[in-house]
Amino acid sequence: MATAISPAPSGNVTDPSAMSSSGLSPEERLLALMVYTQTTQMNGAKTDVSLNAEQLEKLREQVKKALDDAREAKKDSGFWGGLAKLFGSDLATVAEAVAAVAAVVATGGAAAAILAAVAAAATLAADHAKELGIPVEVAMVIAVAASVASFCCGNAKGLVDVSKRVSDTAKDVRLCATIVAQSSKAAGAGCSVVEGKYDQHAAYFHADARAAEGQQQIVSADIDDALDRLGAALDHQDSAVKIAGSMQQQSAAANYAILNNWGGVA
Amino acid sequence: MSVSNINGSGSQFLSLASDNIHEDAFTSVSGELAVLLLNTEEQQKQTEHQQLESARNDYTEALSHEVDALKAEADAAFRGACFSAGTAVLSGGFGVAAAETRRDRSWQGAVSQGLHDLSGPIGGLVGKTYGAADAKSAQGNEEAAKWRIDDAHDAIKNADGVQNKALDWVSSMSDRDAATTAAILSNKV
Repeated sequence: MATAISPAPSGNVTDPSAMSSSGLSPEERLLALMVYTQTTQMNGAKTDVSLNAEQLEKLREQVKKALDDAREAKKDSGFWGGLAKLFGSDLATVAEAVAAVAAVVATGGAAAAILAAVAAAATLAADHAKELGIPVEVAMVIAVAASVASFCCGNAKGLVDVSKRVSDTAKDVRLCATIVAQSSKAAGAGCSVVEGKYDQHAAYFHADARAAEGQQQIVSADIDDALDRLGAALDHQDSAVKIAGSMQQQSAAANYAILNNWGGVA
Repeated sequence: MSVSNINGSGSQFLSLASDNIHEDAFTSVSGELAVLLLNTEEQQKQTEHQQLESARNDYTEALSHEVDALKAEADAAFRGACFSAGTAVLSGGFGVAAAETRRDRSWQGAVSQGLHDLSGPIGGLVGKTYGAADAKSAQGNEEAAKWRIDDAHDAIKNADGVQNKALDWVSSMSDRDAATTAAILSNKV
């Protein structure tokens, strides 16, 4: 930090304990002690400010690094989340829709299979409503209506009379599509675990950043405290020096007056 | 001379616990009073410094609790995601097994559907935590500690102000004594 205050050289004020026999009055010795104490305190405060400023700088770096790491982790989490959605939702839904249509073909238009196909169409529509820019409910209604209309208007009728070979093929397609759908869901679940892991990392980094921010507040308060101490010590020292100077002046004036009186008597 | 400093958190002023400078070393009552005031305010500052230290420790502790709670919440969320995903994978496995039976209704299919329906609630149940509430509570404790820190700072500033006033008082008394002495001495014999 550019504003770091270097501590002043200490020990430039004589220890007042050495003044016991210097002929100073108790008041003067007290003031000397104050100056000494406040100088020591000022040096301590300057050192505190300097050390805390360095610590604050380190904590700022820590916060920045933790937030950067959290951002990276969130980016990775988003990537894996996208994959999880692709596998677990989009791909699986398409495969289920294919399986449902294949089931309709294979069963020759059984009601259950038709309902499954309608449900798959509705799910697909709901999943992609956002991309199409229409409300989910509207998309589902359109999908259900289209499915029902297609089966009711004779499309299914033509499928009822399928040959055994076509039926077998449809069953194979249904099997493959179901396997793909389930595998895709499993893959999506795996991706969501990785996504969760990155989310956990991001939350950890955010927690670390919070810890460093809290420490920053403590260190900032310590710096404020040290600056207050520095200011107070300066004030006290100034006052003490001023009083000591005034005392010395008064003492000199008194001595002069005494000598003057002696001169008058002589 | 053995004048001992009050050792505190870097804000020592001075103590009059001395064998050479006593509070009664001052000739006037006002002087003694001023010194007593200085000493009292110094002790007050020491007490406030202890309060400050205590509040600081409380803040650090609350911060640590908050961070722990946030991490516990993240752990629980991941645990929930793992259980949810594990159930979904099991559901997929049974689903594949059900498809391979080539039957419309099979127990594998029922299990697959059941696991699929349960994966969300299971994840939510396992991932449930009170970490957010704990973190909020810890934040409240941090705020309380910060208020105490501010209060202690204010009290220390007030004590400093009173000490400055006492010093001014000492200064004015000294001037007055000097003026008196000068007046006495100026009366020539």
